[in-house]
Parts: sequence; C-alpha cells; structure tokens
Amino acid sequence: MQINHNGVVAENTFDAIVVGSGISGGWAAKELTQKGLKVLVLERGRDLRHVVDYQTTMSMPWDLPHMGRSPEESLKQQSVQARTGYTVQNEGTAYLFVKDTDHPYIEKRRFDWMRGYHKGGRSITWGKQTYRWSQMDFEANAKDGIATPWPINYDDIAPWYSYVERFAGISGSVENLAHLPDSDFQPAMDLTAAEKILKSSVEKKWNGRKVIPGRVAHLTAPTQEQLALGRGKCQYRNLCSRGCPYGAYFSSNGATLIAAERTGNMTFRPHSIVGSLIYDETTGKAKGVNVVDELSKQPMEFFAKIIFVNASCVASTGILMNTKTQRYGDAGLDESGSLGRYLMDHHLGVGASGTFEGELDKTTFGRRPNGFYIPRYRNLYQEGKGYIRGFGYQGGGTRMGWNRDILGFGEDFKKQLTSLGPWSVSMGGFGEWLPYKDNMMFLSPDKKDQWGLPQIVVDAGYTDNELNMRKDMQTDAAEMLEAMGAKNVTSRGSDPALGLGIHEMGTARMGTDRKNSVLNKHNQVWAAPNVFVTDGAAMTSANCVNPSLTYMALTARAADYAVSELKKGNL
Amino acid sequence: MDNRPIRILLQALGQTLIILLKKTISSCYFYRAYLLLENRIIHLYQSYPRSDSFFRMNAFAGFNSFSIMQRREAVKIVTAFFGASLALPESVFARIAEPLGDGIKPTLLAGKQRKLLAAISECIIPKTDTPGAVEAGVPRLFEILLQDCYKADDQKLIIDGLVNLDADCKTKQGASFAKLGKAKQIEVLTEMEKAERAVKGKPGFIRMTKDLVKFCFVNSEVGATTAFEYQIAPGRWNGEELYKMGDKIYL
Repeated sequence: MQINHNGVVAENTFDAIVVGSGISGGWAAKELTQKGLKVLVLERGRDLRHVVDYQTTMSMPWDLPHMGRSPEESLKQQSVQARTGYTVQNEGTAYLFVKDTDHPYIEKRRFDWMRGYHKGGRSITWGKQTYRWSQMDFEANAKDGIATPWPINYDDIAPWYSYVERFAGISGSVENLAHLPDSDFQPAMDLTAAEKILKSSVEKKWNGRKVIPGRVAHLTAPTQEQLALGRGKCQYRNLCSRGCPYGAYFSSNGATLIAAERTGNMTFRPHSIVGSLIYDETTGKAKGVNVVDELSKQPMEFFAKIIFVNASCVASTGILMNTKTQRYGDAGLDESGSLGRYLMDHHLGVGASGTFEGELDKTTFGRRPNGFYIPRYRNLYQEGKGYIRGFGYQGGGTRMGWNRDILGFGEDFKKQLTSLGPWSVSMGGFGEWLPYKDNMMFLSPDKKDQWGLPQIVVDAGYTDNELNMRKDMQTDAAEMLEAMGAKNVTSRGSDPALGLGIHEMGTARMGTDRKNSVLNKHNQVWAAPNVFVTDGAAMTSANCVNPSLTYMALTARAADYAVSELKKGNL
Repeated sequence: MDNRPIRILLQALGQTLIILLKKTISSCYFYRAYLLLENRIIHLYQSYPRSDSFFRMNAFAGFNSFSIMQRREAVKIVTAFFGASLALPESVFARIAEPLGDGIKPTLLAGKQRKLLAAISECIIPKTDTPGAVEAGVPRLFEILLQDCYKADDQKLIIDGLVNLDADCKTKQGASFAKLGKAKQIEVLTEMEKAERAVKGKPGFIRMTKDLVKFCFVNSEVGATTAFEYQIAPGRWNGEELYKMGDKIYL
C-alpha cells in the first residue's frame, strides 16, 4: 500500500522504519518484513516501478534522441554527475541520476558525489561486481595499528555472505583463494580468447597473481526462488544501467523490494526526505523520524520501534548529525568524535591498455556486462613500495570494432568499418583508500537546501599511501599486458578523486567501543540502540574490493539481530 | 514438483507463437514489435526451469528492422493479435510508437553546408551492397548531434572546416567540392587527412567529422541493421565465437 503524499496519514506508527530503498535499504525491508514486522520504507526520490518505469530499457540506439549521447544542455544540470564519464553522458541512463542543480552540497575539497534519487537508488545503476572480504581484511586495521579495529571477523559474516548470495545470485568461478573467498556461485561468464592468453601469461610469470572472470550479481542459472520473483537469466545486452526488464541483475526494485512487497508488511512512501531522527531523552532511543515531503515540502513524523538508516554513506551520517539531543549535544548521535570522519572510497582511474593481434579467428558473441578480475597481490605475494594494503584490477579484452581509428575513405573504409580489428585489452585498478581522521563531512551551519535541511560539506583528500600505490597500479598493468604480448601498450594515471569510485564508505564506523566508533558490532548506534546503520557509512576500512555485497550481508545480519533483540524486549 | 507437462506445453506454445510471428511480421517488417514480444515470451517462459534450448531460439531473430513510420501500426496489430495477456507495459509501447528523437529539428547548418556534409558523409561511407551514409540519414543525425551535444569550440571547428573545404576546392580545383567527381572528392579528403595526421595535437576537422559520421551511421536504424547486425537482446555469451573476415559483425 502506498500512502498518498497529499493525504492525511491516520496511522503513522510502524514496527520498523527503513530510511532509503537502495541496495542496503532493500535488504533491510526484505528481512524485516519477512520476519513479520510492519515496515515503512521511506524513499527521498520518486517511485521507480520495476520494468514499467525503465523508460529506455527497450530503446534501440536510434530511438534515443541523440542516439545515446547526452546533450550539453542536460549535462549542465548534471555537472557533478558528469564527472564519472559513464553515467549521465549516456542518454539512456541519465534519468537515473540526480540533477545537481536541485541537490547542492559543498565541496571544500573536490568530492564527486554520484546520486540516484528514486526507488532502488543506485542499486539500479551499480556496477554489480561482488566480492567477499577475507579474514585478512577484517584484521587489517588492528594489524597496521591505524584507525580502529573492526569489531567483527570473517566467521561472523561468512554465513550472511552465503545467505545474501543465494538470494541475490552471484556469477563467478571457484578459485579457492584465501584472500578472496569464493561466494556461493552461479556459473561464471567465461573469459574471452584474449583474456585467456592474459590469464596464462600472467599466472605463469608472477607468483600469486590470478586473472579470473569478474564476480557479478547477475543470474546465469536462476534458482526456483529467483524465478518465482519474476527474475530471469542474463540476456547479455549490457544495457543494465537503464534498468533490466528481465530482473537479471540484482537490484532492490527487481528482487528485495518485490520480496518485501509480497509479505504484505511493507508500506513504501516515495518523496519522503528524512531530515533527522526523533530522539527520546528519557529512553535514550529514537522513537521516529522527521520527514519533509519532497513535493509539498510539508514536515511529517513517523514512529517505530526500530529504525534502519540506509540513506547511503554520506546521507545516513547527515541524518545522525542532524539529530540534536540534550544528551549528546549538537554533534549528533555520537560521543566518540568519529561521526563524519574517516570518509573513504576506492581510488581508480589508473591502468593500461594495449592491442593483441593473436586469436584473430575468434571474437565474442553477446555483450557481457562484466570482464576479468585480477585479485589483490601487492603486500601479499609481492611487496608494494611505499604503501600498505593493495589493489585489484577490473578489465576486459574484446575485438576492436567500428569505434577504432580507421584511415581512408570510400569502399575500403567501409569494409574496414564493418570488419573487426585486433583485440583491445585494458584494465584499471581499484585501490584501497585508508581511513583518515581528517577526511570528513559535516553540516553547513548556514546553507540549506530547498527543503530547509542543512547542506552537506565534504572536506577530504589523499596521502602518499594512495599516490605510491597508484604508481604500482599503473606500471603493473602495463607489465602484465606486455607479458601477454600486447602491442601499443599505454598506461594511464591521474590524481585520485574521492567519490569517483562511487564507493563512499566510513563516517559512522563500526567499532569495539562507544568511545572509538558510532556503531557496535551489530551496526547498532551506540547512542541510540534501536537505530541501525548498515550502508557504506558503517565501514571501518575500505579494502580494495567492491563493497555492496558486504553491505548486503551486514544488513541481513543486523536485521536478524534487531528482530531477536526486539522479541527479547531489549529494544 | 513435476511441472514437465506445463513446460512442454508452454514450450510448444511459445515456439508456435514465434513461428507465426516470424511469418506475419517478417513480411510486414514489424520486427521491433516482434522482438519486444519475443522477449516477453521468453520472460514468461523463464518462470519454468530448463529454459536453455528456448533461449537459443532468440538467436534467429535476425530480420531487417522495420521503419519508424510503421511502428504505430505494428503496435496496434501485435497488441490486437495477442490481447492483453502478453502485452508489455503500456509505457513501453507508447515509447515505440513515438520515437524519442523525432521532434528535434536541425537548425545549425546553412543549406550549402548541408549539401557539402552529405557529399562528405557519402565519401566516408558510400552505398555498396548495403546503404551508405546518406541513405542512413547521417547528415541530419550529424547536424542534430553537432548542435546539441558539442561544445561551441568544436561546432566552430567543424563548420569552419566545411567552409574552408569548399573555398579550397574552388581555388585549387576550380569547382566546389560537391561538383567534383567521386574519385576526386576522395582524393581531396585523403590528402587532407594525411596533412592533418602529420600534425600532432587535438583532432582536426577530418578526424572529428569522420568520428561523428561513423557514430551516426552505426547507431542509425539503417546502418545498424544492414551493414551490421544489431540485437537488443543477444541472449547468450560466448567469449570465443569463431570469426572470419567478411562475417557480418553484430553491435
């Protein structure tokens, strides 16, 4: 049931409220509703119905007004979103990212904040790469003596990884790597002929380096449970970010929210911007949320016993910060001083590409929404110079087509245009960004948005650890391509840009003690135990693998804990 | 649970539908509506296990596309034929019936420049056993993209290039570009490309023009479905598909 945003809400009390419907909010909604709770899901943006509202999903290239290229005029309204180069520049997917002119924030230092304000959030446009963390990653902070130790171990989360993987559907290959544990996989998407040459060359030359198929949240062999939700097998369109009409990749809209809806326990309310939590000074818990209706701009209140804050890293922390209390003062729901600090991302934009002129009797069929993956090896098998931690690579090798540079004119030109060129192989690194106390966000004391909520200010950067790591990311990539016999190898490098990885993490970290962290080992806010934060904000370190799978597992784990505590009368 | 009978029934039904559709629609060139419907049938079929063999059928969807003009009719016929049970969401149909790009008017170039651009486009991608740039509507698409998706500097570079090309031809060849024979035109452009490539730096007029002509041709309905094969849903992935020169490549 959906509440009319213009109507008067007679009943505004629920068992649980979930703030946000993105990848972690969707999981919170599913788990809590399936455990029998009446749940209100608040989404700040518009509704985006599965399939029906994916307006470009069946568009042929020539159906789009500019055949896929975004006009300058719309790019002006999405100038921050345009910094990635692959989101709003694409006419077919631009509608799934915000207009920056409507949603301002303040960059004290550059911060590329990619946002999608609609049901499902960025679970519609995410990269779908899914990797487990290992015990080594959870131990890293303690071992290196930086930031604060994680309060959980691999064994705490491993069963929850399995649990969410079986529902979401992860395609990948079993590799038995200690530092990159296998998921419960559906069949992998095969490497291409050129990628197989890269694999054999790299694995022969370097101890501990592996080239494996990317692990992605796509169905390649759907289970009965997935089929019953209306999800089907990947059709290899690689038009994923327009929304998938087959529900073949995992999104809130196509999976968790459908499951939540089917319980009959979910109330979904779009256009509901949560500004802060309503804190009860006597119980020390949050009793509800303050909402501003996006369209009418009217304030509203909703109440519940449990609140899951899944607004995405920066926005979730913004809500905790904007919750002013007598007990904790103006700093928000925190007494550790870590709220808003230790902002992280993955740094990328460094790698190499080249051409490969073997295997010319082969090409690829289908458009694979995936590529190859090279798991971390630096500071594991080979030492990294001048930095701790490491990086992985994502890349691909396919035949060059019409898009390559072809000289000449006329029939000869056309013949080449309609034939395949050599293979193009390229890879780009995803490096770990360390948690620094000074990488921070806070609320502007004076600037507000059109809903009267304080604008978020971000002030964060990088150090030598990131810069030194990037040198290896650049040279290693070129060396590995040369090892396979690639030609015209060129490497690329740049300065890191926080946010560009679209993996914002930290700012309300988990920890072992209320004096060193915002959240405990169950993602429970120390300062308000009936509030849980299970999105990127909770991360204590960043590792170098794509984080969404870990958010999913943390969310399912926290929801299980929350409901059991609720039943025990502890919340 | 034994749902084998249902599966067989659905498979048979699906195959019959597809064969019927193929006959009806290929003769009418209502390919797009067909493809959408086929996707829908596959989607339905996916509710049942062991759908692999069914997916392979998707690969035979290799008809020529039907024109934008015919879509409204196609939608009507197909929806009437199958009724509501197989219908896609209304919003999806609405978007086929009214292609998103129809409303844009190119207004950037002067009449002379348009003729020149058409001649250059056809020199880059001529009509052979498949249509060339002009038949694919490249000049109009080129102008729309240039006016809406390029920065002022780049627009100026291309427009200046057109003006200079004609002026140069008059000086050096004694006639405007459009009046030169095809062979001479290609010779002129080839020389220009050589000169441009000899200088390092930002792409020049020829490179930028060729890149946009290519882009428009490949993404146009005619180009994508005649010189190439475009499938909106390839249905399978193979990292080592056999290929030899001359095979039609899919996009």
